[in-house]
Amino acid sequence: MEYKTAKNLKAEKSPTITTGITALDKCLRGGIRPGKVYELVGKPGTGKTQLCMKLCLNVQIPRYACGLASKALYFDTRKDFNPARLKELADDLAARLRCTSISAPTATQMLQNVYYVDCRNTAQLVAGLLNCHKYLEKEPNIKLIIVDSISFAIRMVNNVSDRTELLMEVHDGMRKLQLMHDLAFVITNNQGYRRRMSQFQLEAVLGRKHSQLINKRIWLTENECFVGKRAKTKRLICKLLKYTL
Amino acid sequence: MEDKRELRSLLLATKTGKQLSEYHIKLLQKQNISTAEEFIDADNVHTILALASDTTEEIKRELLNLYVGRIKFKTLYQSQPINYSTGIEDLDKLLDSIGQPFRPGRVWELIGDNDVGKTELLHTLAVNFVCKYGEQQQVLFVDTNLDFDSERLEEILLERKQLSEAAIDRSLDAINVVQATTAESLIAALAALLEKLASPNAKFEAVSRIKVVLIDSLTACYILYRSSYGRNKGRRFLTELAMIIRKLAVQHGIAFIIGNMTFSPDDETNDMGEDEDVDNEGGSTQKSTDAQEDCSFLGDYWCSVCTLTLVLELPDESHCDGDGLRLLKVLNNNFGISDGSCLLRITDAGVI
Repeated sequence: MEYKTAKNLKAEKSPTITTGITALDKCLRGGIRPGKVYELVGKPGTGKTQLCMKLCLNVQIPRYACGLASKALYFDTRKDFNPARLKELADDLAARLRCTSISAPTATQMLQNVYYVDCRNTAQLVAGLLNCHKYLEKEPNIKLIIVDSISFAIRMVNNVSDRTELLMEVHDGMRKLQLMHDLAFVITNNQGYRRRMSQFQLEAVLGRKHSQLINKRIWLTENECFVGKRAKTKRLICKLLKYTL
Repeated sequence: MEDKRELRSLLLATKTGKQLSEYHIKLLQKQNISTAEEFIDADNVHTILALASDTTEEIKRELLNLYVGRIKFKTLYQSQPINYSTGIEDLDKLLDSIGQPFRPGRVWELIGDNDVGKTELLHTLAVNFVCKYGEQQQVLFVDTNLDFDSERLEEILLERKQLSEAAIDRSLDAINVVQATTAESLIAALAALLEKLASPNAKFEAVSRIKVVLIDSLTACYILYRSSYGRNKGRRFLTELAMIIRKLAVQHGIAFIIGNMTFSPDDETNDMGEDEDVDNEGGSTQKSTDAQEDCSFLGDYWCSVCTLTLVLELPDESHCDGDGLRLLKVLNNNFGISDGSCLLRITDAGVI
């Protein structure tokens, strides 16, 4: 096992995937970074899926625009993926890129670079993640994998201990992929009320082991954006306006 | 066969034992005394050998001296032990007050809840250490959760003092990072370190300069083990890890700070944080705030591995978000007073 010094690691850093929210990018030091697991948490309708789709496109921003020029893989567990909306977003991004360079990818090309896997149940999600090795061999340029939403898939299982076991398996699978391929994972999660010291608190679901294993958790509410792993320790990053997402 | 030869050679190495004849040794063999231990434990050696009990006692004494290695007290005792400074003033004061300065060979544990700032504190400690001792002594950061962020280190360095570019570079160069995401690789990483240090020409290599190992965090050892079989496996890894850590600490004077997450016992069964099953939680949450309970999650053995356990918490009164105030408490000190706490603040310049 090789030791690397912090200096070498700093030099090795690859470009990042911008989230499109300036303050959030700054907090994440440039955006979503390969090699880490990010989690988006929020109530339904706060723009998690929207942000995921945006990331699928932002990962394709060419090198000259400080992008990663890579492809994305999208695991959808609740049929939330909306190709029409993705097209709109792609058109928007393509138009912006076109201003800077003529060789920018077109919206259609961008849509071709987003791979989509439909997972109707938990087993399919786990199988899909395990199969990623195969996808990645075929398409080594995939740098972003999105799981939307992980809590929906995991909570389909009734037994709590089975859930944890499955979740750990998913994490194990993700870790292995990351070590081999230098990928960024973005997963989405819901929040629920949890009673602690006889008062209800809004927390992200899936438990604390899960929170330990993810690297950064991003909270989205209707008009604010937070970073932090627990409701108590999260920090306000910026106010969001409806149109930023 | 091996053992017999051993007793014989040991006997020959002693002054009085040398006088025993081949015949005596055969007699011993007949009585099934084939190791030095058996020789010392047997009460009737003088009757077997038909010698005066004084002589056999003398042999026993000489054997014991040979058998049990001796260390002079002077080599153990350092009149002026090296103390490292953590670089955090309040923390140094706290450690002074409990008589536990940070020294080579110390194994400490830092526990705390999710996201409370353990990783941040470890990053800061790494920076502080290399800033102060970076020329001769280096840090090894064992990253189990892929949380290590070299840019954060640089940010801390930039924020801290007016350091020159070259000085920052040098500091970053003195921090070694190794990724170990599973229990196996964690042990393998430390075993490799031990092996490198044990090799005869280790003195000339860079490894020998590693004096502090920060592990962030230990959760890798057990978090993926769920079933009861898996949990036992996790325990096994923990024991193995403890042994390697001890060796590194004692033989090579490497100080350890091990980050660890707290789990309440009910967390195991009630892991998912469900909104539905709130009812069966009310009573047990009280327990989860009791950190002592958490400590024993890894078993009593682990509690004795780390000589000092520090816990990082959110202070009770702080309700305002983002002030970054944290309470660092001494949970357990194997060598003395175990109370005391200090307030730390997480800032852009690390933890102060």
